[in-house]
Amino acid sequence: MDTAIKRISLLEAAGAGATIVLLQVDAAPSRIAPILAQNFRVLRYAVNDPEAASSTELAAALESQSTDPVGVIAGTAIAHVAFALMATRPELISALALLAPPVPDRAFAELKTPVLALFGTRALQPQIGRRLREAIASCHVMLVYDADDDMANQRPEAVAAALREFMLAGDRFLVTGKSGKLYP
Amino acid sequence: MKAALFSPMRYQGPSSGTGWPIPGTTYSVEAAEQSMRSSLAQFRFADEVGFDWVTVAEHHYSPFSLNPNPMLTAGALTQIVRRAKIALLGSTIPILNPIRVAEEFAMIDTMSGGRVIAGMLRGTPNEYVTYNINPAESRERFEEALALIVAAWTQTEPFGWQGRYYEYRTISIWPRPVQQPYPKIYMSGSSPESGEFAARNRVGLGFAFTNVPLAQKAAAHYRKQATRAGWTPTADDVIYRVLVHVADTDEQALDDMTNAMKNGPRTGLTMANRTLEGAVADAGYYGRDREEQRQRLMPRGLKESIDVGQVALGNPDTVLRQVERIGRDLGAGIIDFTIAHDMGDKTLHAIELLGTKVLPRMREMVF
Repeated sequence: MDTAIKRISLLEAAGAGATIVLLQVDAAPSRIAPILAQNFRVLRYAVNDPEAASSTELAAALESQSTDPVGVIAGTAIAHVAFALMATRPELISALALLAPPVPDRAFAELKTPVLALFGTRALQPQIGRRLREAIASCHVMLVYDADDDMANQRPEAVAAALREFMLAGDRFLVTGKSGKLYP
Repeated sequence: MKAALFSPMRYQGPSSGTGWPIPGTTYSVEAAEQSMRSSLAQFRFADEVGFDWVTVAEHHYSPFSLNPNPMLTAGALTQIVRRAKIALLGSTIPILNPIRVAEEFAMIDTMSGGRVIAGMLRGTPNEYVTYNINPAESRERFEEALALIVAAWTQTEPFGWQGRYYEYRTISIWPRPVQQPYPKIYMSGSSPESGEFAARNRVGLGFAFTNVPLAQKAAAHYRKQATRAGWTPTADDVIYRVLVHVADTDEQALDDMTNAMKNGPRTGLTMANRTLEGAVADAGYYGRDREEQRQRLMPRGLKESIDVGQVALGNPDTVLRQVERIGRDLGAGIIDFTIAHDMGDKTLHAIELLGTKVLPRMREMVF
């Protein structure tokens, strides 16, 4: 356990490969982490006090685990910390995926980091895509059918599949690599 | 009440077999061209004599209908039907690419100046064989496809879709619907499950391949579920499709129809292949009142068909009485009159009688 960082603590490390940091507000088990761990080294962190947590603490957590930029996945309550890190230390993040994020209170112009925002169709706010892109013009928006903000628990296979492709390919995830061939 | 004219665009030439699918061995190019020209002329005439809608629908692999893609027909209709709304009742969305459906509806809405009616159907059971889609997944595919189509119409920023049956990385359709937020949607509602879904999603309900007693029960269920969902459907939320022929006298109408049924092509869809229908039924296609749903598809004699409201036949006064009964029993605001047999000039005369003698009095009926 990472006890050096007060509000952001490591819960679990699993898998091998490029590093993905999964931020969650509590220590509850994740249904997407085991799926992602099939392709990545997944570090699951609890952000114990999301309101008070800072990007400095998150940066320290990431730097303690990897010298390379890492993929970051964050839910609604922690998105502001991820946004803050992207504003101050973008070199630490290879790709940022957000589950039902609020619209950030700052605009990210000239952003090089690929960003994906997922929203459940059962809790879709009007014009959320437009408002999000006004702040992050390059942001990809993905709707997860038949889910709400708790999409990672409700449809873990679907959410993990989108995250996997995005973390592997960044902005190029728009181009599928899946084969359509039925038989040789 | 409003009136629509539906033609399945039946093939009027020689064909072999009475099952489904029908082989193309005796297919005549000339007969097919003539059949399509004749149907388009009927739609044009229906528009001229005052029909509120013209209706097309998707069916495959049979001379019953030369309309495997009603979007193409609707595209042609935008250029010859100047006033009436163009209803697609509908696209069989579980077997199609939903984004393509959303794009094509938006195209037709744009080409017609906002006159498209968007019917989204599950189709007859045989259609699942057409594109090799598992009928057991029909309802789930339908529900997701409809949600995706509405999202494609309403989301103004590019978005991806992570569904159960559909997956897209970015969607941003052009053109977009003229009607805002999107065209009126109808779905078929014979089964309780369909009525419940339609009520929850506030979409209209259409009845075809059924009869008035069964549709009455289904319409009541839909209204009850809508009340539970916090809204009240209007008469325009309920469409009933009825096969029709009108002549100057009852005797002439009966004579025309009897001859057409005797001499015309005798092909059907679902029940034309009982083995296939049974396999689709066993896959769970029909839902929780499976046997009732199957019974409504069974062929009936002409008199019984008239009695249960599947056929409206007679002189204009007789047909008006039959239509009034349907409207009253169902609270239906739109009657979709079906031309099942193309009888040439007799069919055009029937359309004229409907337009001049029946429709004006239908419009005064309120249920």
